[in-house]
Amino acid sequence: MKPARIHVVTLALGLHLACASLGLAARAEEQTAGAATVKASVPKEAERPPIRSRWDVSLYGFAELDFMHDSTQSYAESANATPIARRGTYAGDRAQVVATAKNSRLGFKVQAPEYAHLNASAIFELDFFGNQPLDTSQNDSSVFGTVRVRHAYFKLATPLVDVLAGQYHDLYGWGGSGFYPSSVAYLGLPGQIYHRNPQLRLSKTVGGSSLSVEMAVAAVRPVMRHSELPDFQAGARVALGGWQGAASQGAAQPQLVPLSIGISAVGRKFVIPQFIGVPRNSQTVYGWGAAVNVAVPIVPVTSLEDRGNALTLTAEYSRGTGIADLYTGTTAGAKFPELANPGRLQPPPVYPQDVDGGLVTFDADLRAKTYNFSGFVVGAQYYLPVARGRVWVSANYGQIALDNMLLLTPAASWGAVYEKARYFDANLFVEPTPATLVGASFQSTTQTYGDGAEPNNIRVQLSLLFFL
Amino acid sequence: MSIGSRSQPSRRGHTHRSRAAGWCATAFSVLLAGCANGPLCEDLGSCGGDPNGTWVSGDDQAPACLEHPFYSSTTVTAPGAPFDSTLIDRPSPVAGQSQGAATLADWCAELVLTREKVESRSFLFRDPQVSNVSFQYDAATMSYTASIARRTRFGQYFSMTCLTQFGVDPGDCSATQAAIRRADPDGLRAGTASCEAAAGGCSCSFAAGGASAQLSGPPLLCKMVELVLNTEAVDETFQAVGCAPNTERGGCDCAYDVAYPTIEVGVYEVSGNVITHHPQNTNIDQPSQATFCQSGDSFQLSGFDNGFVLNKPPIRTVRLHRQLTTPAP
Repeated sequence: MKPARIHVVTLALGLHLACASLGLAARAEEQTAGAATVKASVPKEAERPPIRSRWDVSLYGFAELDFMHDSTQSYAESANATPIARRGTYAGDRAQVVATAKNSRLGFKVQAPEYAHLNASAIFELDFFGNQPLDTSQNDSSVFGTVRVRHAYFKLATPLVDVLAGQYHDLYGWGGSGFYPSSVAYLGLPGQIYHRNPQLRLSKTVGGSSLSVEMAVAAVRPVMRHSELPDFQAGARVALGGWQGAASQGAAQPQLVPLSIGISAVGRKFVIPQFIGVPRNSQTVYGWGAAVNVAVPIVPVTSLEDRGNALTLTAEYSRGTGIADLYTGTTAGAKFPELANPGRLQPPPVYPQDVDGGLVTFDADLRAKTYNFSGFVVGAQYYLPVARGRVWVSANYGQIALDNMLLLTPAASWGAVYEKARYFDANLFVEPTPATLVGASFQSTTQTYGDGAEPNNIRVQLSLLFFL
Repeated sequence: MSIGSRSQPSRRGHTHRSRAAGWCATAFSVLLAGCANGPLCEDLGSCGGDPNGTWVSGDDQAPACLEHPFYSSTTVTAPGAPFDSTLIDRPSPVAGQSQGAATLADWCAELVLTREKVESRSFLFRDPQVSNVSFQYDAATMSYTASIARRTRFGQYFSMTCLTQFGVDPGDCSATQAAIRRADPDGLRAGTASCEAAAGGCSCSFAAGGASAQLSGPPLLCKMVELVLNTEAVDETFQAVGCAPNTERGGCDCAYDVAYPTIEVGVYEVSGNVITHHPQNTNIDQPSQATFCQSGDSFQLSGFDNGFVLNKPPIRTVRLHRQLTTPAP
């Protein structure tokens, strides 16, 4: 049997089984719900005390199913900028199908009443991409999604300044402010700033609904604990509230976003042990990044009820050094070099690495250096003039360049790191009902390795979401 | 909607199902759009025939198709079987404990260059190409001799740290002169070098291309390294070291030839279009199968079942022609 036919049969069988399983599961839930109803009949409905919260609580989130077909076996669920298996390798020559519901999300927003002109609110948001043990089976990895904290923060809005304390999108890149591209692919796309961090943020918005300027500074979790210094982030954002367009952030229901531009920066410090097996001294280097984001409603809309013909562009450009962790999965294969072992010691000395990979390393003269990074992502989303804009298409292009990657990599390992990546996707979204969304996507990622190899992965993704 | 209406769907229900089927068909089409790359080296011909004779590679084309001819992030390879140098000699991992982060190659390629000698070196390389292949089959004895030569010239950057961290001092004129004379005692490569202290450090006069040249600073250091490595570090696999200063980074850019042959002898048997090789030295080589196609003076071998020729990764296929014997005068 030809491989393509095997794919067809396997996928048909898989989807059939999935449908059958869903049907069975639904029936089981119905039965369980029925049993629960019987048990709950005592005490009677009217006698049960209502569940109350001290503050206003709203629930949000979505249940999501993703089916993904990859032309290589390079990824688990998320693609992002993970290195692609090369041609001529087992994983590089063979395809895979991934199915997961781990991107489902659940969030609570809690709003306290205003008190002395102070407004306090909090967000708790979870998904199921938490860390799992390395020896987890494929079944457990896909089925037993570990709960992960996405957001956990509170905001205190005061007449003077707004305070955000907790884990939220980084200020660098103005995450969560309407600049994200519309894509079925998991964010961040290659080259896109996409990161969350524990932080203490102070911000001040001036102006009105037609024109507003927000300025913010934040002390953020340090990139490495041993640096003793929080990362610092700062940014400014200008929004023209009178000029709004429809924009879907990732694979989400569209929202109204104003014409806006944001600039932001990050600064951080690395203090790493000297490059020997038993270090006594450390070396210090600094990282920084600067980013510009824009969201431009080319064809604006005033209401999401009818967003047909709306067209919105998003773009982001950023560059810096020692900041790859702020771009999901972008180590580009970089690691520390092997520690020299001239005395042939057994066991050989191992460098006590105390920082995440892909940020900093040692050059040929064993001086600490940070990896340079530059990237951009541009995207457009167009809401078709049918069904009041509940069908839309989007396309995105992203690019990564790591211009000192090869200078910081021994030549014998050039085949293990990439210095450039290019990404393109095209997406179709359909909202069958206001609560559901179906997205189909074609995603192509190409990486240029240090030795010239250019592996490519084509991912085709089908996502189905139900929004709470 | 009642349960009854589900069990006896209306005509409207049929329409919904038709739409659902349409969605499913679309979903299948979308999912199948991104196909696997498939093998990098497709099988060559498998028509069978008579392998008897001597088959050699041509000069005008790459004789073999190689899969994954590169080095992975943690693999630094010497001739023979690939190995992961970052894991060599490490203690066995304890259950539940990480073995430590994988690394890239060593910047200095384990070079230990002292004032007196090259204590150690481990020339690194990647991507050696197959330069020469020959298969000789003798139908009378059912024996074979296979020879595969691989060759590359690999560039290795040695920083000043790598070159000087074990005592070499480019400014030490007497030590430099001693090292050069030790490395070139007959004066074949550098003439009778003589060094003297100068304003910029040490300056040595060399024979270069039939004329004498005066070297100092980085060119002198790199020349000394070249001579020392050519004398004390080369072997039958690594030869012809050449070094030149790297003006931007300091240190020296060195290059060397990497060449090593693989020779396998044994007996073979043919079954249809599959040839099975039984090597003589089973300590090194393993029995292997390949499909083949002999057509006139052309001979093609492909590792059986997507395997490697002679079980030697990454050689997937070889394309050979008959070696014509010159008639005796």
